[in-house]
Amino acid sequence: MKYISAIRSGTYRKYVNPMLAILFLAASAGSEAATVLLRRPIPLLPEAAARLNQVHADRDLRMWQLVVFGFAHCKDVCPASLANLSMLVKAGVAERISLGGIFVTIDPDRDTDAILSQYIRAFGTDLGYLRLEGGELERFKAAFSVETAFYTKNAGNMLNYQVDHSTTAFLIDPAGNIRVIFDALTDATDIEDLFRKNRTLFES
Amino acid sequence: MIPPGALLPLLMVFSLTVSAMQIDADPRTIVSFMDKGLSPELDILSVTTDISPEDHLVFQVKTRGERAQGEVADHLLLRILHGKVYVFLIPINKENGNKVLMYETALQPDYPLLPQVLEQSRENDMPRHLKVERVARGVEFTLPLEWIDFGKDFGFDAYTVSAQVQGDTLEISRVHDQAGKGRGGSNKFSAVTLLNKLCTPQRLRAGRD
Repeated sequence: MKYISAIRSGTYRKYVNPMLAILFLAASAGSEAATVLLRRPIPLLPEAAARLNQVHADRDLRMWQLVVFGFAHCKDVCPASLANLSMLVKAGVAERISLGGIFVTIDPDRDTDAILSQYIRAFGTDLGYLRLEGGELERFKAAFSVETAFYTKNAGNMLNYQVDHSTTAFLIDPAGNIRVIFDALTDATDIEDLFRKNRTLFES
Repeated sequence: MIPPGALLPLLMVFSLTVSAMQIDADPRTIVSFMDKGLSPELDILSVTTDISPEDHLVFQVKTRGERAQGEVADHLLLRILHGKVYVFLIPINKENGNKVLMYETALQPDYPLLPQVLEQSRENDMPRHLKVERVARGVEFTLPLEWIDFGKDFGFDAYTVSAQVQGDTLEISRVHDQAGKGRGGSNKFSAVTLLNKLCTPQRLRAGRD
């Protein structure tokens, strides 16, 4: 994680926003997103699979899970991801696929259970959330190769910092294997098509 | 006290330093140091990866210059670590054509990441439909995404080398430049990372303005 020291003087503040914009531009990866139906499913570590299963405690054992990562203080990217997630869960249900949606916070310091509960409710009642902390969160992120970068987060600023993160999302089968990797922002229609056109995947 | 006029240049230096660190930290990109002691066509500047609209993984290797003819043994080499060591070479000289030499060998601990001698393997796991295209001062290697096992680690680097082919054997007699020189280690990461797109709300906002 990268931290940029807070600059407090009024003279410096004048230049902070343009400079941070330069930093954000430089930090962004240029990679295009792609939807990948895995030839070889990736089995999740038991710890990660167990954590996902806890989200929908009374779940159908044939339930597939859609997993996206983000943070509730995100004003535009994560809401778009969650809207897609909610849309996909509804699309799956329409195709009679048992499907649950899970939002995993990468920012548990600000995203309390109360905030998360209220946040995801705005996107429908069919979504759940997962809040992990410390080493457990780091292991969970590593299981999905999630990348994060925190800016201006420090002891003097634990509220108004910025987080960049990868927007890769995952479709997990009932046995706990990653079967499809896609971008939560740009590839939702690919997954909707998958529900309609690749029924054999969900019967396997 | 720093005069306000000197502040912007100072912040620029600071920001470029930080952003350079971030570029180096991006596993999908290798930014290489310029070496003026090398001929421009042998001096690698960067290796980047991208996913094409056709869902291919594209490695773009950029050099400081290019040449039409010269020492025929000089090759641009892309090395991929993905369960095995895969090596792809194309002549530096544009007039020598775009024929790609492909080799693979087992990945073993305590083994050099770029072996000096490579033999064509009988057990061929090479990607089918590899495409190579010359671009301005560089080369693009395009691999189908379906070749990648996303459950495994991935690593890559690029070199300019002098190499001779004798039958089924490739012998690398000299390494002119290595993109990841000085980075240490094999720079291996989860293959899923190749698909990751980092999203910054600030960047999206800037794009709309």
